[in-house]
Amino acid sequence: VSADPAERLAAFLAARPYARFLGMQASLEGRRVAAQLPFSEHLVGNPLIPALHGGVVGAFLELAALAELAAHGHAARTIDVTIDYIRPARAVATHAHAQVIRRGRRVANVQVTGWQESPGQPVATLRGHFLLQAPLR
Amino acid sequence: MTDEPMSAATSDDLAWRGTAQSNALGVVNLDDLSGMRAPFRADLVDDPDQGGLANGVITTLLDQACGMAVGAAARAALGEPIEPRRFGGMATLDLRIDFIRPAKPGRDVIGTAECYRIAGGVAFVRGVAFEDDPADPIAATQAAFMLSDQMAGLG
Repeated sequence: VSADPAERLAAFLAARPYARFLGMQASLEGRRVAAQLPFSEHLVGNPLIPALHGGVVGAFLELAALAELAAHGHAARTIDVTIDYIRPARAVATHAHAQVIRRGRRVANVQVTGWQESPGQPVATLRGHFLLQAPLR
Repeated sequence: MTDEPMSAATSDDLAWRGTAQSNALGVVNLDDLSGMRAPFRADLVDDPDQGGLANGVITTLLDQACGMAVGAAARAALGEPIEPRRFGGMATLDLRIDFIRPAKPGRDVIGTAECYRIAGGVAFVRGVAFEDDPADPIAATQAAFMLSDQMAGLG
């Protein structure tokens, strides 16, 4: 595994068929992962609004947390997540930033904000615990 | 607080009938409508080496199974026939998921949910995801749903 965070991030996404199914993208902004989920019809949960499926929003935020950890060299497995739905995620691109609140020896606590129009108006937030695996080499 | 639905499994009609996302995943309802099944597909895994369905698939499965359970409980509270029908909608407020163990490679995953209480227009739900036995769960969830105005008087 590369020592370069951008390469680690690319490897993280490339290794995950489900992330490709969603159409998730990610890049580095400085040291931080900027995750993106372009809108696609197959992500819709409610055609009346229309809005993304709540499960898709939760899944995207979870992957953003794992991507943030992976970019910094930590392979992890999700222990638990709590997703708060704040406003409808509409038929436009969704963005996410993850913040590692604490990384211990075995567990990381990560908080993720997902938004569409502006970071100050989140559509959903996630916080979760992630079990750290052996360090990536 | 807006009355606008915030998340996807917004009306039981949609949860029961299937959404664009659940159709894309190939999710089908169980015959007794206690939940739904996500068939295994190789393009829906997190890790090709381990091979089980991705956490995200399970998140969507449980969100939608919870929505369907809320619809059933709301109908029961209204004294309506059990047959699914359209409501004004519901919105997921929050969803906590414990990922207890990875899903087994090559296996379908079933998500079931129970709306154990409606109070003050809020539905409280718990659910579980498993391959064969709910006592050997892959994941467990606890969720709260805001009911639409039509149902807000319930509980």
